[in-house]
Amino acid sequence: MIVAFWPRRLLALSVAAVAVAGAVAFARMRAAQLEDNAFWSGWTLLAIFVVLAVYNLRKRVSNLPLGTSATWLQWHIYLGLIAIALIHVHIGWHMPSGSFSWLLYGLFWAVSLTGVLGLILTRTLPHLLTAVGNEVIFERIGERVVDLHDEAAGIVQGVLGRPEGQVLAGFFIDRLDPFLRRPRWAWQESRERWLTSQCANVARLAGPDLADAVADLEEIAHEKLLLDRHYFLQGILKGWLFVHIPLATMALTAAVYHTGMVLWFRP
Amino acid sequence: MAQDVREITRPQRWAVPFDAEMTDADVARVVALPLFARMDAKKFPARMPLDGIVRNDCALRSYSDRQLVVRQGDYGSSAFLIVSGEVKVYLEGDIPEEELGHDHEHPKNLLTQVWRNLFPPPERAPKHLLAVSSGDATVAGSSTVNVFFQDLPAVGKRGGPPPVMGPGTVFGEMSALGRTPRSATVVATGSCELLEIRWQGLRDLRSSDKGFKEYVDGIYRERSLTSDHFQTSPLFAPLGETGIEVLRHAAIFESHGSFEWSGQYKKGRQERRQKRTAAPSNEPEICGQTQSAESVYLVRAGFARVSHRVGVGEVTSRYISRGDLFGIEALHAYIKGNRAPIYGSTLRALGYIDVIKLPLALVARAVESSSAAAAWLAQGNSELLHEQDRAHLAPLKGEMMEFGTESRVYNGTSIMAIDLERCTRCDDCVRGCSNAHNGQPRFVRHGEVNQGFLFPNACMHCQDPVCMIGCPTGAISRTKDGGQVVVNDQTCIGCSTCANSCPYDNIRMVERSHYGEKLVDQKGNAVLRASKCDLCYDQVGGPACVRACPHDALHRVDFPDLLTLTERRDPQS
Repeated sequence: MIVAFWPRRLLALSVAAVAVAGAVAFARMRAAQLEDNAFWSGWTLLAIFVVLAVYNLRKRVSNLPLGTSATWLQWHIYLGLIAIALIHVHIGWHMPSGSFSWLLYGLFWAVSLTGVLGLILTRTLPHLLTAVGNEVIFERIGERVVDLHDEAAGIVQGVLGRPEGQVLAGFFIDRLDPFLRRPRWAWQESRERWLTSQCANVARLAGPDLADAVADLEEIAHEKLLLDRHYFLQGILKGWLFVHIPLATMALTAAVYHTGMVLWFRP
Repeated sequence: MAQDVREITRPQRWAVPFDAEMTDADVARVVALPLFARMDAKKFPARMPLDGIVRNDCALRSYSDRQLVVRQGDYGSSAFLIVSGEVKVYLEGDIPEEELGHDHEHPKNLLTQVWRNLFPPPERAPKHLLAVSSGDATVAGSSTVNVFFQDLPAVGKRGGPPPVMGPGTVFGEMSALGRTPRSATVVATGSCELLEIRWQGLRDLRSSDKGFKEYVDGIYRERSLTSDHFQTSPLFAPLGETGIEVLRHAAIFESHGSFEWSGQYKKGRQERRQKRTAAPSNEPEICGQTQSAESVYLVRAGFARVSHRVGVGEVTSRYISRGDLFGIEALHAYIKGNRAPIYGSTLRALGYIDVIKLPLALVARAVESSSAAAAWLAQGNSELLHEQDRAHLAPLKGEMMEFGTESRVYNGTSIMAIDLERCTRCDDCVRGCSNAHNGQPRFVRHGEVNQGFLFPNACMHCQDPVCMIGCPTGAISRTKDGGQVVVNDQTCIGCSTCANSCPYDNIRMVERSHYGEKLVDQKGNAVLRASKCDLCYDQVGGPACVRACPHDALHRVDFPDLLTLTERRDPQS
């Protein structure tokens, strides 16, 4: 089935807004009757935390028929947004008191912000990756870079016998060899300009006989640049989860501890 | 760490016969049947003798009165020869759908799936590979279904009694040769005995005996003309049985291209890439753009490209397949008074195509006599002219159509298309696939990119699965109900024919193992098996790759839906 995104987004946002409005109205009604909101909102938040955390487990058993991962992600996003409103209902729209409460509150915001950041990254970086072109699997980038290094070394070795070959050898040793040694976590437009000017310079010094060899080296260097961009962008797309998930684990642990303490010391 | 190795006998073409119960007496009886007796056994190659084909690629099946033999709509890879008794043929709609007894070959069981996926067993080789001569063979690809009918209609859809076929007649060859669904339901009348010939045997008999080839090809053509294509065409259906009968008498059946088109296509694709030349090449022209139109074409099976000349090249405006018509613009012009119309676009066979050719003047007269047909023609013609204009005025639009036709993606019924504008390259799809298949993913997230869509090397479950052509054992076949193309590990001998035949490189050969031991033959070469996407046909919830994608980036679609996906991205197209 081809999903239409805007209607889905609109529907989910509307449902989330209604849920938040309902929770706030309910809390106000209870507050007007001098009843406590912390208990129900706390349990609701803990339940939401658990559902949010379970998404990561569900991804690990993606083959099981537990609904599509995309549906789970939608729930993850909108429940996360609801949780941001609900935590303020829970703490009564003021800042927390006590060091542990601050820790929990800080962890909650850290998880939320990394989540929002992740959402933005996952919606924007794919466009950049597509624009880079030259699709490559992240885990194969290193292998491809090694291949490019070997190809470049082969080209240079092939011309070493000629007098102008020394120019290419020097260029390889000083510039290309360090550049092609490993993938770099970088996206700099200036590197492309630098590379183009370096190649133009070498082409001038090497002369017309080695023009093809210089062109091949430039092509290799250009592919390496694209690989670096993939390494950079795909690295970010994979890396943010290494921040979000540990923070979420800590927040969930702290929330469970907090609940236990509340239940233990509840009058 | 060196992997343990276990030596086995390399599986052979006839290691698992079609029917292990074929005896010497059965083989002698079959060879004595008139159809086989006419064959010259000496013309068969030594490695593929006639009695070998009968013994290993044929099966004698007994049917009782009113027992279903083949069911309209099912995919089948075999043909039948009536040895004794009679069968009746029922066309689409003759027998109510609910009485046809369609069932799932692999019942989806949630608990089994959960258990199997959580605790995947180490890969295990089939028993017969470990002891080829043990005789522990299984019947592969048998078409036998135990469905009996209580009531069968006495009168068929066309008004008369259902046709009866008697001893010596062959049927089922259209499905077996064209890799298409069965076009009719066949039911036993009284007790009868049939010889089921699996596709591989049919192919070898055709290639070794000219007389058999002519006979089978002849009935293939004859039946192609008499089957239901006219009734299902929106132009011809309103003409009624009488009008259709007139057309049928004047119709000519033509085949263009080759059944075995994949090898030529692969070679041509490599050449085009190297020379950076555009299609079409290796595509036989059926009619030219400026050619005087004398016929209307109805596609019976296969595909064709419709293109227009723009500049020095050609722009593909559409592709046509089973049930589609070509020559509509010319027909419309003829009816409007232009007695010498031209086709206006070029029609080329993509791979192979069967067409039914009808005289333009006769079709025009028939259409003029039916207001419903005339109305459909007027509407269809205006849509086609619109397409043609688009192709002429904006040749760069519709790149996906061009790409899909050139790379034969239109052939797929479940094309894996990853929207790179949404894909985060997380590889959850590959992990999902791996989890669903004992830790061995059936595709690689790598392939051609067009219009921001990645087309990974995952089986597309083609309408015309040419990978099945060469399989010597019938290990690769369609599931009966869903038509997914699957590989039977039990009968795959790892010959790589399917992988080499697949025009899209979507089948991979992987090493077999048995509880961690790598299986090798006596020469120390690894024993392989074919591995490909099976669309998780036996899993609850559908393809694991789709279920695993968090961003709705991965789709399994047919070609028209793929065009819709592209247009969703580019509203101007």
